[in-house]
Amino acid sequence: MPVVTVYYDRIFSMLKGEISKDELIDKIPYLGLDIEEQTEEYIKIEYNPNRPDYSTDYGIARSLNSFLDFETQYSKYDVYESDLVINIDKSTRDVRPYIVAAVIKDIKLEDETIRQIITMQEDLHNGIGRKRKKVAIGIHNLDVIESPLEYITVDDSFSFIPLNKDSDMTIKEILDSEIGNQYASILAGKNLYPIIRDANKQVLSFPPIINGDLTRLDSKTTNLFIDVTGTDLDSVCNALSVIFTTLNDAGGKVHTVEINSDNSKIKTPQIKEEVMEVELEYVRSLLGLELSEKEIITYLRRCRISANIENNKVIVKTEPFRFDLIHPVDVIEEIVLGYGIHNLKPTLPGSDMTGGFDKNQQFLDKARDVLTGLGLIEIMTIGLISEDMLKKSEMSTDNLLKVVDTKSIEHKVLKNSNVPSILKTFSKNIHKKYPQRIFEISRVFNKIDNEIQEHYQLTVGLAHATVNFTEASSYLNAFGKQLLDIDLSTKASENEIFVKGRAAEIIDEGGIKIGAIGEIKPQVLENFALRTPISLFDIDLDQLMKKRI
Amino acid sequence: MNTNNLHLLERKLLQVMSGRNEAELEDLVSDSGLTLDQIRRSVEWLKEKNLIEVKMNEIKLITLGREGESAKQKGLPEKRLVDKLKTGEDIELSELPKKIDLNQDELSAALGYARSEKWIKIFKKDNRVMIRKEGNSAVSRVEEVLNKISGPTELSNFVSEEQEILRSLVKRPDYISYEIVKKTRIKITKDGLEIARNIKDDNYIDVLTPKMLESGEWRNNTLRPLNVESPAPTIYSGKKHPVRIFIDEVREIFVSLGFQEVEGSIVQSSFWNFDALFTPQDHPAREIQDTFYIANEKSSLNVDKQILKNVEGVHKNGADTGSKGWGYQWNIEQARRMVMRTHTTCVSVRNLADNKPDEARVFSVGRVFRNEKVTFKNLVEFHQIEGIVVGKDVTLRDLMGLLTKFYKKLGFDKIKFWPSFFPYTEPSLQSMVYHEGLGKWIELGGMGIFRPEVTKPLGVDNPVLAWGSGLERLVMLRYGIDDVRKLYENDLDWLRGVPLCP
Repeated sequence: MPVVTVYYDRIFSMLKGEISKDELIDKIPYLGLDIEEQTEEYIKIEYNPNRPDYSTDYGIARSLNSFLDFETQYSKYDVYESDLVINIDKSTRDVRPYIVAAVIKDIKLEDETIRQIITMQEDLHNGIGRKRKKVAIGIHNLDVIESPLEYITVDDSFSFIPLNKDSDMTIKEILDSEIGNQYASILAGKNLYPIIRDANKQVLSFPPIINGDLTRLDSKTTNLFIDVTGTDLDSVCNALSVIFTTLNDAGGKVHTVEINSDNSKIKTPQIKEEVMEVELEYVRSLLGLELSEKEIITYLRRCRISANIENNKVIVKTEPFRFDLIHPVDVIEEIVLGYGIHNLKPTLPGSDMTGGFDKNQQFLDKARDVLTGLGLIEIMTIGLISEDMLKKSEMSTDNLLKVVDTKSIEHKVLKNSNVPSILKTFSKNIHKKYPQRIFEISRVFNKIDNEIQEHYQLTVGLAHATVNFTEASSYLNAFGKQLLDIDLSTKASENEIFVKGRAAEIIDEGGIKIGAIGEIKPQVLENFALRTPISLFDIDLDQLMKKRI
Repeated sequence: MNTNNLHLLERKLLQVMSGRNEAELEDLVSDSGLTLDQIRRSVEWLKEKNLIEVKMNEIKLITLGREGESAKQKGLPEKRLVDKLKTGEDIELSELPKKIDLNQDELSAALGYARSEKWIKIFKKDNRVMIRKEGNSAVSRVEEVLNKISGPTELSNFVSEEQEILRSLVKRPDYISYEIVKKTRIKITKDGLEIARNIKDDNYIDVLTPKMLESGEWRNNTLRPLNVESPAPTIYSGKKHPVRIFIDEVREIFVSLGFQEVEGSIVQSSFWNFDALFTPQDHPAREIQDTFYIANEKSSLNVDKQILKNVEGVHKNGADTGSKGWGYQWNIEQARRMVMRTHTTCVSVRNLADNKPDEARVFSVGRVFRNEKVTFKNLVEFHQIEGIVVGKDVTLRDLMGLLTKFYKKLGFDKIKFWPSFFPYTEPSLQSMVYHEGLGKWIELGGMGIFRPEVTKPLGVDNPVLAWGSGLERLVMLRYGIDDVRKLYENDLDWLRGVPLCP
């Protein structure tokens, strides 16, 4: 989750009312923000990625001012016109089709302001920008460029001086460099690359990879040009909305840019005032609160949403950065935030219902009762195992189901048997008191008829100096008898993990094979560094569940 | 003293001692049938009761070294020297090595000892060093002493003259070595003897046998009281895994609140794990860094066609749910990718889709997977608790009320709520409970009302309250564990030792 650092001196200068540090700390969570860290100078606040307007202290202050009733009237965002023009070449349509832009004038860029803006840019890149794939943002010094700009495509031999470099690099060199490498996949498969340059053919940006060195910002910069490119029109517009409203709050004057393509001419940023309707009844019934119309309007105002009520409907208008509101329920949440979650009293649903356990789970409960009654200890292990564990168990590694790109090499294969985890458990406990008698009930995964199938497998493992097939057989019989009053028989059979001649299939009363039993062969014991014999059986419990009455 | 106060071991030892008066512990093993360890324990107890006296003896043991052993086998070097010489015959010193199997060191030592025993005479003749055998060299006292040493042998076995010889042998390198050993010697006291006599006479029996019961012989005897305060060997009960025990407790609570348990597959299609939960297909949570996708597996998506169409529509433009949707072209191929479920919410929504209830309370406790590095606080697999409530009139406040009750039953009396965000619920809340043991608030589960974009496409029109929480955190608090890996390490000492009521 993204984090914004908020310095007390800055936030207090932005707040339009009096509040102590402690009160501030208390209130912040009720906006839906988490306090991650607190020091004497600052607080670090974690926010949800659906609210990128919280990516700077300006956004946090804006919300607090209304939430704390410091501000009851919101100023409109004044947008002026600039004479900057961008001409779009249609070749960009197949590469990175959308571009919007804004000009910000007369902004004072203190160090911390620059840091806040960069954080916002990064959070937009990572959040709605999907790591620059969907949206990439360039922030430039306006004073060094000349209108009209052009948004064109070039081939990979095209060169310019990228940000923080001294000399020209070709597109190809940039994409092969460390910085280019991180985002090169976004342009993979293209043989044309997007470039923004000015009337003098000077390069501002190679989106979404890197800006030109030409337009680098410093603390003396006061006029900005912002470009937002991407693959989704709504997303680039939304990102621009967050940026221009934030820079407006940071003291800048927002100006439009004219964007020309073959068939259209628009000016951005556009202030879209979204209107949404919510049924009064829906609000009241979902929250369980009999709120008056006036209350609803007040609570929404605390969340900077202006509302009026007509025909039992709440009609709301939202600020341009509130693109997270996509359904009336989102407005209802704003109402309850304005009401204050801490003021909400819990109630209980009126209806009464009879609960119950799942039949399969209930069967497993009984199986565990029998097994623990027989003195066995239950183990629980992770369902993803390593291929190595199967190899050590001398089990087949053909047709395994595996996960992609695991971060833990120990967890790669969906386990198809509990046997490896039982053996591993014994192996970890060689210095613990014997006899050791354990069991595991877990889902195992197999591919049958081209479908991944899961079933519950029981594996019982017995380890001590004189353990043998007969002992395992006794436990098996007891299990069948005590659980279902059935006779489970054994039929001689060979098995890769068991000693030859001391292995059998487990057959149920209907003659169906439901498991295997035997003495683990010495090679497998050695593979697991075990010095005590082990007898073991496993049963497909799904087969037995079917017998339950 | 009453013999009944004596432990079985004490009685046995006293009886053996009464016939011996004095003995070393090691010597009692075969007579008493006790182990050395049992003997030591009962000696301690009997000493306390003044029934025996204990003396610690230091004894000197002599052991032959390599050279000593060789001398014992082949004879002393000086003896071997003179045996090769004929009486009255002079022999030049330089000729000796050819005649006798002794190396130079042994030879010079042998000459020295033979001369001091007066077995030979060494003299010069024509500038040559000559040797002549003289006198009687019958039996050497030294060899007799060597022959008496067999393994570690007590010094006290030797008379003083022999001890003198032993002392001289110490000077010969690697002949003999001394070792001092402490031995416990016990002696029965007068009281001890008396009690031992009583033991013989009483009618107590130690073991009740089936034979005695059959024959009625038990009537003539009394079962001897035992030391019922002494520790007994450890045994263990069979037991469910502590996580399982906790899961069962949670299940009981859900059922007591009127919830029906459901279960579902661990391997799910992306459709149920993500798409049906209104998670856009380019959402970061769906990336392979976070989610375990199953290699080369695609779901046939055997799902009601209407639901597929509804989900596609809701992603695209909200369809008829009142939502704007995410505004992108939904791709069914993405929905076919198979995953290890990342939450149990997919089980809940499948249940909603199958039953389309107007009213229901459903819960599940199940395993979920995340592609994480394993650390003391993260596992690739953990359990999730989830409950949902469907009803025409259910409210956000009802959700808070149910959760308050749920945590109260788990032992948390204080709970607080604040706003949160989850992609598939709105409004969304987070809860914290106060842990009395730790004396602090801990973050537990998230909750909310399923977005209509989730429920309407499944054919469920009433609001659905939902809450979920990880389970392991609660288990760790219960058992006082701070490393989550410990839960699934299956250390038998822990599994055997952990109490059912911690």
